[in-house]
Amino acid sequence: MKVFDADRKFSFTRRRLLQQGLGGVALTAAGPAAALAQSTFVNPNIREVDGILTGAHWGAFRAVVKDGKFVEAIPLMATPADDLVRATPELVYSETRVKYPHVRRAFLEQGYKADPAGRGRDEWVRVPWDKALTLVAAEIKRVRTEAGGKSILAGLYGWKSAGLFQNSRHAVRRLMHLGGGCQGYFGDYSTGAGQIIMPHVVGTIEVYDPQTAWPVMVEHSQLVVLWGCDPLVTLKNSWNLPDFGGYEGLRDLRDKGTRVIAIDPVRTGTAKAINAEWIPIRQRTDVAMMLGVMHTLHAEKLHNVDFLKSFTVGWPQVEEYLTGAKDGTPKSAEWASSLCGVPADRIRQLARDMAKNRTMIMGGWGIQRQQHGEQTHWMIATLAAMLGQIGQPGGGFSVSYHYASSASPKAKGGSMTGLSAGTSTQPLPPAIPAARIFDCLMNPGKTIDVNGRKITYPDIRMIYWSGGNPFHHHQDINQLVQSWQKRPEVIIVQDPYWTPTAKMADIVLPATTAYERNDLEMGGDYSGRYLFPMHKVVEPIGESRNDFDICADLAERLGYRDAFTEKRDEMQWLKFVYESSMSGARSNRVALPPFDIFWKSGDYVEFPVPEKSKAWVRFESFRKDPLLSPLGTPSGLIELYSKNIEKMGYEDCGPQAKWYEPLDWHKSPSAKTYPLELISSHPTKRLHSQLSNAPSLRNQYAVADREPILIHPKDAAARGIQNGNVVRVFNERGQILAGAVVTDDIIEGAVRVCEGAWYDPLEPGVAGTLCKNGCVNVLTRDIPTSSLAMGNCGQSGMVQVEVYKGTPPPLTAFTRPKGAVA
Amino acid sequence: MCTFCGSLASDRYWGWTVAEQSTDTRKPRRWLTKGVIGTFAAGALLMAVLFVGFDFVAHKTKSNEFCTSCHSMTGNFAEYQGTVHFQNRMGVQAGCSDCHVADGGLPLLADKIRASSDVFHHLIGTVGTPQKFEERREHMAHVVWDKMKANNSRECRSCHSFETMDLLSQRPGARKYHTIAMKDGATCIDCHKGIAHFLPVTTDANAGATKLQDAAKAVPASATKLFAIQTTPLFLTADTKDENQGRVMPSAPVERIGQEGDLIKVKIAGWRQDGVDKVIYFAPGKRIMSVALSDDTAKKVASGASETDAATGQKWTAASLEAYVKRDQFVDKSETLWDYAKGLMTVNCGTCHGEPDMNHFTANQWIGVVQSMQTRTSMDAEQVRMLTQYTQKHGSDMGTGQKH
Repeated sequence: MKVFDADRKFSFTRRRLLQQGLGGVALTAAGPAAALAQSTFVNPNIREVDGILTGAHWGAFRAVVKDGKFVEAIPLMATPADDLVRATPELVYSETRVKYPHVRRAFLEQGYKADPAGRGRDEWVRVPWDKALTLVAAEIKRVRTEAGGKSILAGLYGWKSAGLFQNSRHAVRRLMHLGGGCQGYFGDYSTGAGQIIMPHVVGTIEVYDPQTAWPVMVEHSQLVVLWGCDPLVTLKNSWNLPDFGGYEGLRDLRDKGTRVIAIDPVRTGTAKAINAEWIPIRQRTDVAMMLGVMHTLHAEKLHNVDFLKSFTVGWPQVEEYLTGAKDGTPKSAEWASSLCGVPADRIRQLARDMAKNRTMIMGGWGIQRQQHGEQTHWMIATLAAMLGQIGQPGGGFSVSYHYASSASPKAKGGSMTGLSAGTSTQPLPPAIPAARIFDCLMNPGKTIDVNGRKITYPDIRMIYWSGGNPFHHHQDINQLVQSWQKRPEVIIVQDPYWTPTAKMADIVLPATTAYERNDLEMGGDYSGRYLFPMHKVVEPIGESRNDFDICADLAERLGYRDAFTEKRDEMQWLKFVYESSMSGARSNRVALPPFDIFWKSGDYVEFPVPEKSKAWVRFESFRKDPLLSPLGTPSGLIELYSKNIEKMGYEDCGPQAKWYEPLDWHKSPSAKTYPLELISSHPTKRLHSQLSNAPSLRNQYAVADREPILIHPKDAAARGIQNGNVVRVFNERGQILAGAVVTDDIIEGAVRVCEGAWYDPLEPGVAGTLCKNGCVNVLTRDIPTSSLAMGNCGQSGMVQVEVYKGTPPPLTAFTRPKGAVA
Repeated sequence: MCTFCGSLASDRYWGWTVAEQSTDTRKPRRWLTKGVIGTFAAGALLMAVLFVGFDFVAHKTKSNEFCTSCHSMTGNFAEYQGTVHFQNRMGVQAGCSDCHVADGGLPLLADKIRASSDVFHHLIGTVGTPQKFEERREHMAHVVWDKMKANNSRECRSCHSFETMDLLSQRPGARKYHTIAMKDGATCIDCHKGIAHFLPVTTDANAGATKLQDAAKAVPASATKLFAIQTTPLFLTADTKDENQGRVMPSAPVERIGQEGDLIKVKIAGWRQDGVDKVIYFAPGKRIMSVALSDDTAKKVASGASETDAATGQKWTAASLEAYVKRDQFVDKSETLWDYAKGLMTVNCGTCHGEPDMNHFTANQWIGVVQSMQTRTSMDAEQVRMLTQYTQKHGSDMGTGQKH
């Protein structure tokens, strides 16, 4: 036995690693003598990288620091997301940074009795950390004592920063849970409808499930139909650090020349990049077009009767609906064409092409972020069931190919778990649907239906938000402004930036960006292929502090610091997080070095990807053996008709997928006043509202310093709009400024404004005021998809557009509010 | 007095006095004496050199650096790096040699001689690539395990001893098994395999599956009591191609009642649980799956007498079904299957722990035990099903004892 000296004997410094050559194994050529002298050892799973390795939702990168300043981010992998990576240093030094704790003046003077209507308007006062923390802790204590944990809405939805330890949402929830619980939410703004309907249909949520591996797709798929998705744009981001496997897949698909059809109101970047045929479709009529395709399959006997019999339940009801046997309306291609605008012949041809080829339908999420969004994903599954290729290589359907490289083959290794939200010391109240927050704030005590249950809204007295920005992502922002100016007694926002949400708070606590702290993150949401360190690049800006430390100090003031920290400091937490992957890796026969060696190396771990993973096919085991590998549905089969949903008896979501007319489409009455359908897609050069405050990116897309709006040349001409004009976009809910991009890449009769622009009110804190920047959610409807999922309807709204008269007001979205200290 | 010869004539012994008397005998005697002294001195010197040298070499060749100086040890060392024996809170390390080489004396010499064959294998590249290493891992592991078993885990015990073990500081599970081990005189390596390096991948389990198929082909047409060799489809009619009407599970018993080409008509008897129409089980109250059925097939099952399971109050009804199955998927002796299943158990379970006593769990408990343990093995779904059937049908409440 000997005393072990890690540094002297087996650690390898950066310098040493570099001497060994790239990712190589030390000691290969050296004989014993040389080995004795050198005594270095490199774990073969460690991959070497130069510079300070860290990362973001848009990719791992090497940070270059000069004179103490983070000056450059070099992407680790060359991908279409490089533009986002390169802009990362701008976030650290952005003018929007919150550098010190601030309190709204009225709140500082009058406490929680201050007029809530002053939110968004009052000036801010810088306070010392100690004062801010004492104030926040006292408020948590007060509200909890007076009204209980159910009146505290904490750690809500948002994309936070990457990093498993400094998970700002979990830090805040952990703080609340260990103190007695808080009000939580379920679902999200991305897949509110899909994740509730699909378990009824195929027994899994689908929207976040791994998909048939790209190599299988490339080899077997003969026809790929992109139905309302733009993977080239959305694959830039992952919840962890991306592995970008989706880009390899798209590239291989294009290089092979696989036929791709894009059904979308917009000719997307993906459609152009992979030479897809574009079928322009009227917004929110996807279900109608699918029915036209299905009717054709049935009429021409192209549907797979055996598959429907062995693998589904409910086909008779679908058949009856298609033929119109009961409702008198055959869902023919002509019927569909009259609704969706796609010529009937094109619909029929699509049906034949789908049946003739090994076809994968790749559905997006925009098509379910709309009223009756449950129906689109359900109908895609129903259509795919008729084709009968589900579970076959390269065939079937998916509603997730565009997200986080979900078809990236799974690596064989271990995965890390991060800071947990902790177990509540008292029973938690039932969670509310994520997107019903306004409804909840305005209507405490109201009972709503959701997925067969009833939920009663709590009376929210405190909001504590970290890692999110509802004043971009929530629909009908003018309503949200009203709700924040009505009920909550205290609103705390913990964020690195003066987001529109922070500007609407009472207390703002400055958090560090991910580049000012140490962390760890998995690489590849679905492949689990990498373990990335996130090394601190620079010291915290101003007095900003790490989310974990802020919450730990609050826990101390509330009397449970040790429970919160579990008596671990930063490096011990990182070791704990890292080691959570070790037993998994070990059972997968992959050797990991001890944490300190991994961390000091500065490098990352790459796990091997077995051939088996590259050949993985979704639903294959079900297809091979539906009896012994049943789905998680009540019948164990694909439910085209759900008795469970039938029992719920909802008028807005029946027991089988059907076409429901939406409030907002080209045939609705409001189209007379507001004739253009509004489309709100995922932005190309942002992650939702993150990176809005990176000027180099903004300069690439902003038109006259506003969010761009795509408009068809005919619609533009009819309104005297020219390319580059500042326009006012408005409807019964609000008004925004945008910069016109006149293009035939969008269908006539619709306009597109991407989501994510920071809400920038002309008159702060006044509902209905003009948003100078162009936040599309000022115009969308805050209604649920249906009683089933209660998802959000980001794809809603009819609008009118006009040239903005007069001088456009200067932008203030990215400047600090009144009184904030730089 | 001379202590050698007992003579009082010490002068005879002390040569120089004698030498004066005879010069003839003096020369060879002096040479002999010098030789003895010289040999002794040289021997001592050689011994010293050898001793110091061996000690030096033995010491140097016991270092981790030396052990990992061949690249074939790279993977092996990386595996060990992730364990508590490499690094821990106390700063105490059990290096390669602490576990693999004796501390001193003859055992050390023996280890070093044995280890010289490693040099030979290194030179010829026996484990020169990760693939070769993996292929030979099982052999190498058994060499080490056998040695440790033979010397009663001597190297382990130089640090860990039953005498100084604080059992109450251990988790209850560990405490329980250590107590048993102390009583039974078990040795460390009996249970603690794979704690520093990865366990070998077991690959030879499939050989048995081929034997089963051969046995199935040799079943005489006269045999009526048959058992499925693997999961196999059943058909309601002899001419259907629908493979999703039902599944017969491995080892499920059927009775042959007819034949049609490659198919045989069989009667399948078992039990159904009230409310679970789509499964026929082997015995009432025991969830040993014999057949899984589609909705339509489930409607064709004939029901018999019912009984109530005393433990749960659930109603179970006798069930029978006539169907067609593939002839070459059945054997006529359950022992043939159990030989195969026992092999699966030895290879997959016995590598990490002693082979389990099947009386430890009931038929229903075995489902959970196999499910939770199988993730640590390389068994495929079919092998898991066979092993589950084997353990279940020999469970403590099945009255079959340990006869297989």
